Amino acid sequence: MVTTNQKPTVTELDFEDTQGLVLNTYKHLATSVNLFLKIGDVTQAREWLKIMRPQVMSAARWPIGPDGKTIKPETALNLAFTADGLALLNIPLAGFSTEFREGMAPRNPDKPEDLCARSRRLGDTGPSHPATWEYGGLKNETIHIYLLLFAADNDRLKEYLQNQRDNWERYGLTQIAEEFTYRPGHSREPFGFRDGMSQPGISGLDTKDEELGSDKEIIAAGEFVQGYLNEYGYYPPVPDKSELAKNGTYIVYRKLEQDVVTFWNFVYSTAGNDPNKAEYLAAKFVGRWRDGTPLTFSPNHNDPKLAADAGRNNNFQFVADNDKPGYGCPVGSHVRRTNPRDSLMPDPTASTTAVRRHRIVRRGRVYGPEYPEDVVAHLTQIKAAQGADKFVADSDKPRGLIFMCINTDIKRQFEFIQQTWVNDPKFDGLYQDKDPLMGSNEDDEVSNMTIQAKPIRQQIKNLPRFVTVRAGGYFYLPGIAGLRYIAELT
Amino acid sequence: MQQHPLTVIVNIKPDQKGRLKELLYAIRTDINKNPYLRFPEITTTHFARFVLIGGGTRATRDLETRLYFSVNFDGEWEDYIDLLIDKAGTAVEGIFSACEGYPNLKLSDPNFKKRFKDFIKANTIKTNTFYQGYREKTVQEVQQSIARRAQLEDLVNLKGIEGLKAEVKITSGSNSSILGKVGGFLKKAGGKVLGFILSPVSGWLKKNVNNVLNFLLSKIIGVRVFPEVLPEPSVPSPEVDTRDEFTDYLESVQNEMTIVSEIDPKQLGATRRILWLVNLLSKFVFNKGVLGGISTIHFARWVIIDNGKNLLFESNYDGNWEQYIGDFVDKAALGMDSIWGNSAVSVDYPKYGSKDLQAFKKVIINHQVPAAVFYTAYRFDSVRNILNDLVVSRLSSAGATEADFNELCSHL
Repeated sequence: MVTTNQKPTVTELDFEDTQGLVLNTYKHLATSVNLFLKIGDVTQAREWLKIMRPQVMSAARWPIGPDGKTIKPETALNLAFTADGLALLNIPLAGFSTEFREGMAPRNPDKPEDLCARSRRLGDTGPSHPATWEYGGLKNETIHIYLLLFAADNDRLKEYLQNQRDNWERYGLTQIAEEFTYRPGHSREPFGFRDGMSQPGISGLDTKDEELGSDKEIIAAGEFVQGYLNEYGYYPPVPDKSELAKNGTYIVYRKLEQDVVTFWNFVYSTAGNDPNKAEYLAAKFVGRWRDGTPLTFSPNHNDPKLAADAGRNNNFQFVADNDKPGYGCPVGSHVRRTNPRDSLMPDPTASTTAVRRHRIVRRGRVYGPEYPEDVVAHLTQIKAAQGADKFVADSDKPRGLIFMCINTDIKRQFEFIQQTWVNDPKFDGLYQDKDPLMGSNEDDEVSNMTIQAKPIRQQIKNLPRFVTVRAGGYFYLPGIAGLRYIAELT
Repeated sequence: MQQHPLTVIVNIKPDQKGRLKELLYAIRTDINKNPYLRFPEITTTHFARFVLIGGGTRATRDLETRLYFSVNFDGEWEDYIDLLIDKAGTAVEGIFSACEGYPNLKLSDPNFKKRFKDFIKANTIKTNTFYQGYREKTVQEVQQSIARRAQLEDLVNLKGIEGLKAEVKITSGSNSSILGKVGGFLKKAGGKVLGFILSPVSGWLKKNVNNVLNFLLSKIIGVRVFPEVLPEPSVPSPEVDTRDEFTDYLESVQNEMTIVSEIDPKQLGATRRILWLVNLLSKFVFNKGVLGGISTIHFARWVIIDNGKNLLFESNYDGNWEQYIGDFVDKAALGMDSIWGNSAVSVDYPKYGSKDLQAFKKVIINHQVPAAVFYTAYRFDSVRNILNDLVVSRLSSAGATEADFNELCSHL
């Protein structure tokens, strides 16, 4: 018997002790950089952590100025660790999750290039094989520290970064990789679709906070922050050390390179080069029109008013809004697979309860040259200018998403979504369909896209791969007190 | 033809164990084409497995003292064993001669079949609860349906809906006689009257379903019932190291699970009763491919073994271990708790039941034994695929009406 309607009671979160990244998207700090550092000397690194701790941005509310307006910071900094980093700093790893301790791509010391079970589960095969990664993979240097810097604009970011770099170098740390990211003003991810529209609400966070978007579903805080009850009504496992047992969480980081040109060429050629049909097809792959209009509410065309209405653009259910068969939002589409809502089981209430146990809070950003809001128009222009017969790249610099999410149970939350929903060809009764956007499609693992329709479905066969994993890792983001403990061991 | 489970448990002769394991692993390395035992030739086999089991506690889990041979098959067991001997006599000899009580006869002996069947019968344990995902469909019917659907999908992709129409040959008009129509009307009317009479009862039932269920389970059946809401603040459960052999990516769509756990002697009667009830429900309620909300189980069984000391559970399910256990807890926690909550103290069942997911996972791992040999007749098809294929096959057979055709389209 499923405990339905068991809304988690509102939690008292400790904003001062939680790092800001957990509860905040830093929307106004549109430029950012991810630094991956290696510790040189442990004692020196500890000294560095001591001076870093006060600089870490917590989730505490920003002060209100005399004019009644919030005084927003001009920069922000957050700090996370790998298991290797913690081990080097003599922090006991007992109680940290297996996934975190092993890492996203664990090395087999006897066969260092072997694909591990986790990588297979995550679909990190073929071109996404961790042996090919730029950092965090089988052939890369071991990362110890993950430093995130945010700033309002590029100049300020560069300055901030230089200061920080001078600092860490003084304490013997070296940089393994840096990754610049940003929040595009138009909120479109590189394929051209509006992103970030669906985030779970976190119990205990101010639900009127517009940064949460319109998703009214409030999920138990313990799903995202350690030390609070999770969706089962239990406390999630925490590190044994009590100083580390509260207000920390795990970050999942994946550099996802997006082959935008291949995507739109595939869509256009499948749609017979008809722009309207192409828009329709692409929307069917994603589950929303490019401007964010949900297909469930508007199956045949986008609806700018609806897309702009935060109260409605994410407030749909598949069964309750008569879209169970998928004639609006296809069963295998991206947004449906990453959040099946009430459609996963015969009983919609039971489905909602089950799906609530596999939510993540996303904190990712875009990398690579910024596209204008209308990617298709942009690519069309370039195609015409070059006299090409299909879309061509406007830059040889790769683009994509630095996917980041926050969860306390990596296996049940992130990995579950990836393995059981995104990459499962048997998702929800399908036969050979992986996620059309993100599926780990290979020559020997073909994937189709079935678009439910009347009188009969449209089936698109052998989708090429559009997304390739270039780097990744699992990180522990401690609470502020936890960070002090790691630095000072007291 | 009916589907049946076969549960055979035999003690392994200790000096033969090494040889037995080698043979089983040799079969496993190429389950369909190895030189010893090729289950596809034993054409009434849905699923089969050989597992080396021990006892029902963590300490005895890996002892490998006996061989568990399990099949989900069509028809009568004697015919199945005959076929097994005909197609894989040498492997049968090789495997079972390593077990105690094996008849001391050669395969060529005219009495071999009878004596071997006696041996099997002597070591067969009656299955308490048998769940079937696609009841009473034969292997042949399922495989033909799978092929039929694939054929129709290709046809639609090649020639569109017109191609499908040409293939399916719709018959005009309804194919029900006057009698059939009257019968249909009476059924509907009768249903409405019955619904009207019963609605206050069912209304009350719906409102009080939790109380009724609790009463039924705890007072009448006698199983342990766990509170829905924790009565006291919980403590963090220790993390579980899941074993990769359970969670690794498999070559078939299905995965297998075999669990042996001790039953609390005080709860033996309750366990028998709940298994009887679930068996009944499997026939009349969970008979459409969904077991308490879980739609990924092909076949499952519960068997009380070792004279009531242990409970054996076996399942053939789609997807990965994490998802499966998560499903158990999300969708069928009450069922799980009603059955396994009767475990002996040594099993370490979570204090408040399966919703303590980490502790529940630990219990499963502490009692799960990976199969030495696992065979599925449906390497590429999930339960939902198979059920869909059976519908497609039915709707596209001779005599399909216009209504059938429209429904068929929605299933492709």
